[in-house]
Amino acid sequence: MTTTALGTWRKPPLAYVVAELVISPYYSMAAKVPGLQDRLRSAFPRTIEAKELVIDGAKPSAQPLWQLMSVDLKHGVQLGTRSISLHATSYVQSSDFLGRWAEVLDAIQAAELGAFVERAGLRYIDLIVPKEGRSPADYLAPGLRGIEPEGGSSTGAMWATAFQFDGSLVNLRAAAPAPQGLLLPPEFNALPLNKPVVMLEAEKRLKAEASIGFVDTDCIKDIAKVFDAGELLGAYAEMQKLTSKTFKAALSDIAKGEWM
Amino acid sequence: MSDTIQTRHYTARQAALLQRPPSDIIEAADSIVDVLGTRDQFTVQLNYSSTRVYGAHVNIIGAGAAGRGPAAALTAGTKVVVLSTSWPTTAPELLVDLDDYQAENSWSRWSGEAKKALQNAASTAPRQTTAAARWRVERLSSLQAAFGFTIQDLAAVLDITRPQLYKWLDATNDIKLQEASRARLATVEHMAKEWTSRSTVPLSSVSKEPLTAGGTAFALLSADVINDATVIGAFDELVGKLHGQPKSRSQRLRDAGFTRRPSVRALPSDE
Repeated sequence: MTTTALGTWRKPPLAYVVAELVISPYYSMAAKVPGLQDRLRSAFPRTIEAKELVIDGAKPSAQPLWQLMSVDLKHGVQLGTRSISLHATSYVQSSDFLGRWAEVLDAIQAAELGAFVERAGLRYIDLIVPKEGRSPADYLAPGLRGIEPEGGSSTGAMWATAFQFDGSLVNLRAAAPAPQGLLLPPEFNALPLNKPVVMLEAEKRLKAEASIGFVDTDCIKDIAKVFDAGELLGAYAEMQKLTSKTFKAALSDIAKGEWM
Repeated sequence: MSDTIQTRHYTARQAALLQRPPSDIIEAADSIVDVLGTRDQFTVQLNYSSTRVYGAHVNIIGAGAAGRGPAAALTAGTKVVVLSTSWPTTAPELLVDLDDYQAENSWSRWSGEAKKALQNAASTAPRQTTAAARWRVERLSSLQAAFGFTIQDLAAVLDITRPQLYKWLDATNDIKLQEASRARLATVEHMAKEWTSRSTVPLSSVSKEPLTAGGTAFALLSADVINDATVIGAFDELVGKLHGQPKSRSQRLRDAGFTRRPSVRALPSDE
């Protein structure tokens, strides 16, 4: 069993982090993968070849995917014809994660992809595993808890909104409790990485039919430019601050006291 | 329950890692075998460079003796010549662009190369930096701002040598941090964050003050393993000491409402 915990908080709820660049369809990606793989091999020596089903219009098509994984399966880079991303289930702190992402960006720059970057995204999945005697909703700010009619108890509640910042949009989705059986948020494709402690704990609770929750914080920024590693890293540093600010605003004092 | 996340698209296959052999060198070695096929066993050692000639003084003597002329082309326009195959235990040496090499004596070649090097140095564009290198330097600068340590002390805290730290601080140096170094840097950053959340005074001003439990904050930070809780406890104690210290003259003046007059030479960012 892994004992990975994410973040520098006392009891970090962070379970999964993704930094992703959505690129304009790049059909010759297969030709660029050997070069990228060579540059990333020291950090990501394991390779998984996969396919993704792209449903664009009426006819779905299968596109190749390459997943380059670290030896310990805590980090992975996914290269596709429509996106390039870094996934992590190990996260010391933002500067470390962005440092790793910078290395991936440099590899892309050196491989001279010249891809047109449509959008940058940074998504954090935090899991709420409540302490004995508490409910997942206790961990959310009072404004996100919704209503509870007399005599009724919620078996699944989701709250979502998008916050517009200067040039960036942060989508916050909080589920407390999450719909029964749901571990990770909907519309979230994870790489086969090692599970962190909090995810294993959440799974145990789900098996015991106890409730959990999640906070899904996704910051996106339109780039609409040809790839430039330095410029993109600067954008990510800003996006990280917005994501962190939004996430902290969604927490109750109980959550801050228990986790931070 | 599996330890790894199971995805719908998971179609794991053992992908063959792309191992690209240095084909040019292998081809060159093969061609030497062809040339020297009739000779005894020998070891091939390739002193090969596209820009420079190696082993000049030794091999030029044997050039006319056992050499068989151009043996193979490593890359277009580059000649490879077997200069010496004198005995089995001695490796044949390969020199590049032999004609040019023989045409000049060593002094004129040296002066020519020196001139070329100077011209290159004058015309070479500044070395490129990478996003990762700039990010690393930025992280180290933030650490310096929080701690105010000397290079020697910062290197000790990061558990590296001073020359290594200079390399880390060079944004044109594209080095990849080892996992242990990454972890140490992240831990030290976390400690810096803890300090700056307590005080705006650089830690260096009190880092070597003795603590009640013995030792100093600097010693705790430069230990092999940084104990977060102990260091944070030490920070709390040092912050208490800082508050108890009498104010300096400049602090008293600032509290009284005096501000520093902006210097004519001050940069806009100073304000």
